[in-house]
Amino acid sequence: MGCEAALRPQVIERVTAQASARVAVLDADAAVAFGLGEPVRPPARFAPCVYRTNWRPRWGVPRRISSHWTSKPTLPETSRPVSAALDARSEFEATLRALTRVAFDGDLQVYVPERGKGGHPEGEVDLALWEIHKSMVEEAQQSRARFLATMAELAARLLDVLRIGS
Amino acid sequence: MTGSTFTFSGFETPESDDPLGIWDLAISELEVAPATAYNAVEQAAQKQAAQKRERGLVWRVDHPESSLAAHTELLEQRAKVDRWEADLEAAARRLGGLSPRLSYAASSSDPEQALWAEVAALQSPVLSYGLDNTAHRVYEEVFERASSLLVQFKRLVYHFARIETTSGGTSIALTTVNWTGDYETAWLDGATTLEMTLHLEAVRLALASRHALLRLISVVTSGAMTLTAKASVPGGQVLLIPAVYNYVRSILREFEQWPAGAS
Repeated sequence: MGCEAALRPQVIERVTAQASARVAVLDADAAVAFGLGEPVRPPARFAPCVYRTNWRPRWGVPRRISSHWTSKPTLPETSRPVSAALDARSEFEATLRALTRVAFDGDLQVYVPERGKGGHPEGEVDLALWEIHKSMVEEAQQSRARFLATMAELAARLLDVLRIGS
Repeated sequence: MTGSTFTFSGFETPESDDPLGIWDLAISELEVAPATAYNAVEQAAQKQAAQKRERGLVWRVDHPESSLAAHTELLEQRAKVDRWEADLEAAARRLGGLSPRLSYAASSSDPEQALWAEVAALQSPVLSYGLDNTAHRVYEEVFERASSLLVQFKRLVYHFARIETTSGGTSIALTTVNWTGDYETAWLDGATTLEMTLHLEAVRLALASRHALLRLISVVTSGAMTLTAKASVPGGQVLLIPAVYNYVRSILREFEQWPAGAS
C-alpha cells in the first residue's frame, strides 16, 4: 500500500502550497549571506518573474514523488519585493512565476508558470517562460555537476602530488 | 559583431586582463568609492561596511540592442571558452611533463626557461633563508605576488555568480547563483523571448567562464605543488604559484596563435 500511496499524485491545499513557497522566498536570504544579494544600480522597471532552483539538502523531509501543479492555482500567488534576495537598493515588486525545487535525495517540485492576466485566459501555461525556465534548470544542473567535477579534479591533482617518485 | 560589451567585476589578475580574453575586468564600483572617513576607526567601519556590501563576482553583458547577431556573438564567445579549456588541458599536460633533470639541458622555449629560472632562484639558499637584504626583499616580493594571486583565487571559489544583462541600456534580467546551487532570476516585465534567450546565453557564458577560471586555479595550484616536490623548492607550494601561473598563461598565449585544435 505504501508504494502505491507514494506514487499517487498528491493533493496539496492551496494554503500549504503558499506556506511552502514563502519558505522558499525566505531561503533566498542565503543569497545575501553568500554576498550575492548586495546592492546594484537600481533597474528602471524591473519586475515580475522569479525562478529559483533549490538544491539545498533537506534532511528529514519525508520522501515525495514529484508533484506538478498545472491546474489552478499553478503557483501560490506570492508577491514580494525582490530586493531582499536580488537587490537591496531597488524597491520593486516581483511575482513568483516559476519554481523548481530539487531536494538532495532527488525529490523534485515544479511550479509551472501560468499566463499573466493581461488579456490571456487564466490556467494556460506560459510556454515561453516555461521553456526558458526549463533551460535555466538544466543549466543549473550542469553547472553544479561541472563545479563538483572541478573540485574533485583539484583534489585528485593534489593527491597525485603525493605519488611522485612512487 | 554587434559591439556588445562583456564586463566582469570582482576579480583581478596581475596583468589586469581576463585570461579568457572575453571579459573586460572592472573593479567593483563599491570598492573604488572615495573614502570620506577622517580617522582610523571610521575608516575601519567604512571598510567593514564595504565588505558587507561587496557584490562578489558580477558578470555583465550589455547589448546595444536585442538581436540575433547579439545571440550569435554570445555563442561565439562560448565556443572561445571551450577552446580555451582544451588549451588549458594541453598546458596542464606540458606542465606535468616538466622535469628538473631536463631543465638546464633541454629548455626549448621561453616559458620553460622563465619558469626554471624562477625555480632556480627559489632553490638558492641565499634567497630561501633571506641571508642578505636584497634576497629578503626579493623573497618578500615573491611572497606578495603569491598572496595576491591566492586572494583572487579565494574570491573566485568563495563567491559564486551574479549575471546581469542589458539591452539598449535597459536591464533585461538579473540572475544570482549561490554556492548551494540556487538560481534566482528577475526579469524585466514584458521581456521578449529573444531577450530571455540572450540572458540565458549570458548566464551560460558567465558560468562557463567561471568554470574555466576554476580549472586554471586547479592547474596552477596543483602544478606548483608538483613542481615543489620535483625540484625541492622550500615553500614552493605558495612561492611557485606566480611562476606557474605566468608559465601557464604564456603557454596559453602561445596556443592562441595556433589553429584551433592544434594544441
